Amino acid sequence: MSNDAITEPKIVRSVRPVFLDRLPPCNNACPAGENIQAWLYHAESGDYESAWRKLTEDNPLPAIMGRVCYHPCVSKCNRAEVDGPVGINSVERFLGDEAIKRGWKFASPKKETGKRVLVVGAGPSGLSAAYHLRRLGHTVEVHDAGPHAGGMMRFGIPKYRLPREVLDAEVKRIKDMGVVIRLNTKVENIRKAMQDGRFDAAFLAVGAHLAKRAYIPAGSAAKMLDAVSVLRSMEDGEKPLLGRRVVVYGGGNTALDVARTAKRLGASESIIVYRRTRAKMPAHDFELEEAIEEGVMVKWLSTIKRMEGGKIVVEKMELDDKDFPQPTGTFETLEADSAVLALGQDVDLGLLEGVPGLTMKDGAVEVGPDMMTGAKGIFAGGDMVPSERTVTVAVGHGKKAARHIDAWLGDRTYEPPQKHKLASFDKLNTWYYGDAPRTIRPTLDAVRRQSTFEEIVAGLDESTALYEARRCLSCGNCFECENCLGMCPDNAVTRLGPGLRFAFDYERCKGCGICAQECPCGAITIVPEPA
Amino acid sequence: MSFPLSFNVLGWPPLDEAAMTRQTPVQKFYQKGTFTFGNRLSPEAFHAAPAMASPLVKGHEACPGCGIVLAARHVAAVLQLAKFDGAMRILDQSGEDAPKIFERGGDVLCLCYDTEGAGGKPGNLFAAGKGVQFARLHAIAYVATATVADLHDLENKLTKAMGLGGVRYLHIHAPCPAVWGTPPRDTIRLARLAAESGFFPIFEAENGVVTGSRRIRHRMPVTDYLGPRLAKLGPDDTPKLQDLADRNIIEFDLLPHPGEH
Repeated sequence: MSNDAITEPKIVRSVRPVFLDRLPPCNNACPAGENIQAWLYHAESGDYESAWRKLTEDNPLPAIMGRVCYHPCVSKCNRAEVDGPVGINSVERFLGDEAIKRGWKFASPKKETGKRVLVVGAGPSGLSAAYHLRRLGHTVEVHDAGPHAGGMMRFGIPKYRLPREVLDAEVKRIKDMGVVIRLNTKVENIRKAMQDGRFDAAFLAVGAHLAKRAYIPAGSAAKMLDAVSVLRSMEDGEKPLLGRRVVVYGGGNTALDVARTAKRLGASESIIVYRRTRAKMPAHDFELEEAIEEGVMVKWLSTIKRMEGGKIVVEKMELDDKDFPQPTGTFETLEADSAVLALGQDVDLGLLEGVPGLTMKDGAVEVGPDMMTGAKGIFAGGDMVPSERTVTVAVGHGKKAARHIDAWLGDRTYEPPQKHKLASFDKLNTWYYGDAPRTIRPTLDAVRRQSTFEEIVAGLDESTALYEARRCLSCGNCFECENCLGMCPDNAVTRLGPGLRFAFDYERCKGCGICAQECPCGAITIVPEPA
Repeated sequence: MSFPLSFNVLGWPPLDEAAMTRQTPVQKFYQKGTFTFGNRLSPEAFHAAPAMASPLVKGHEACPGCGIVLAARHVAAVLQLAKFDGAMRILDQSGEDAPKIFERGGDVLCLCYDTEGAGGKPGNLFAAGKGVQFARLHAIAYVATATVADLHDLENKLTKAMGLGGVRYLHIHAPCPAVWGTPPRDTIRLARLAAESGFFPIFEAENGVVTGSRRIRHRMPVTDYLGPRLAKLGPDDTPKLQDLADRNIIEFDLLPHPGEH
């Protein structure tokens, strides 16, 4: 090889690699819009405070969410196809608990805008909106009709799923930022409340607390209650008297909560009556599984026809070809001291009377894509708008509404950033990930949890949480594994420094594509050479 | 800084010494069982690759996705970091010059880049090449196979070989997209499949005794590895090559033991 007269040979290349970010499926699935992959990235290095700070950019309630969220993120995790999904929810809870233990606080806003926002309802949606609005520098007051903050998280979710100390700690942290929460303050008329308090905008999140009714003939001695008031009275100190044989009517998560609460209150029989099949049940299957483990029984394909004395008459149903339950004319009698109806909840829309422009549909408030109702400056979210009714969705609404309210107050429009393309499983090279099965949160044994309101799912400890975080595949986002750097035959990859990732040197790259092929997380793609 | 002529056969230019000693901050171990080259939390920071300005790696003198260039780049980094100045030979992958050198003895470090391409037909130099067989026959001080699919293993073995006396031989599997007719992006993937099928066993032996082998993580048939090159093979070749891989797996103890991983 002659080294004299080195002419720079021109690289003939038809394609070139480029770095890109893709949207991890967990982030894509999160109703609260958490940047899960990004906070796990910090947790992986044991930097839990940074992880928690990243997490709380989107969700101010990680210790709560780590307990009550139905974790759609875990269901979509790409790692499920390797060994098992990452226990994202468990790590979130660990971070949330760690923050409470260490006393981590939210930073107060750097500057005050002087704008005043009224949030009606101190449930997950209201608290989330209040937090995000406060972060943006607005003055926020939350008015709630109840004696304690938390909304359905306190009056709907039983203690064994969400200990109240956790709820109180996360509410307090939001108050410490300067959010004012006025309890026992029912907003009767939103327009008047806004005028009286000189508020520039309002976010309504009063939830859905009115139990839906069904007409069931019942004798005067029959004890028939609704799920909302049963769960609420668990908080008021006066425990509901349900008796030894309890029948719960309905197939949602609330029905399960009541049936499991009845067991804990000492019922020897707790039976759920549901008109359709297990496959059609709206409740989450893992909760049903836990309930069955605790001794809750279920009568599928059954409706309650009437209640008299200590007996309930149930009619058997069958599904027609459209999967609707149809009566069969076959009846059955169940012994029951009480019946609890868990047939869903309605929104109390009283405070909205006489607000021009505001529209309602099917008992819920209609909002636009910006969460604003038909009335200017009045936004709404959570259970009172049409959507799935979960804590996570509510927190997501609060965040989204806060961004739009902030823009509206500044006479701007909020344009959400464009989403990256999804990092689907086929974009990954999973060879590079070691086999590591999921850490299962230890569960209290069934006998113990039947009789107590202790938390049923215990948390991860530090080592298991770290292990779980490190199982993250970092789908679609470079985690600086250096495969591209080490495997490039042309030495065309430059390291830019810790956290800064890499760059391609197109003077050297021959476009072989090894980097893209061997990138474990799909953060490199091959594009045609620009003309 | 001078290098043995045998090493410089690839035309590496002298290196920027400052670039070689640059260190990345040492961080914590990352994912449990990760098999990536390095990573941001790994204590084993990749020793900064030499800033090469050779026409070989800048222009079209080497093909895109060249396995030899990739392996040689890491060899260069290790040798130069260690300031290795012992005797070195690059052996031909036909294995023809190996017996003479092994018999002669003395202190020499031998390298061979194996593209299976010497005869133009895959399988001619099967089972890690004739050089390896001669090396084991001669019970030289150290013989090891390595692959571009595991660059740390390559670097570790080279480091070990440098520290020993006598004849040491490192045989490196480096797929050649040009000869094989495979896509350039598949170079590492194919090297990995060669090792994972047992076709190219990754092991080391000292004085003729096998002292270690790299376990297979996901065993697969040799046909997966041969891919498009199957078309160039005769009908009897595939079972023979599979048999060869199966015997390698037994001979070099390539399957994971219970409790491993």
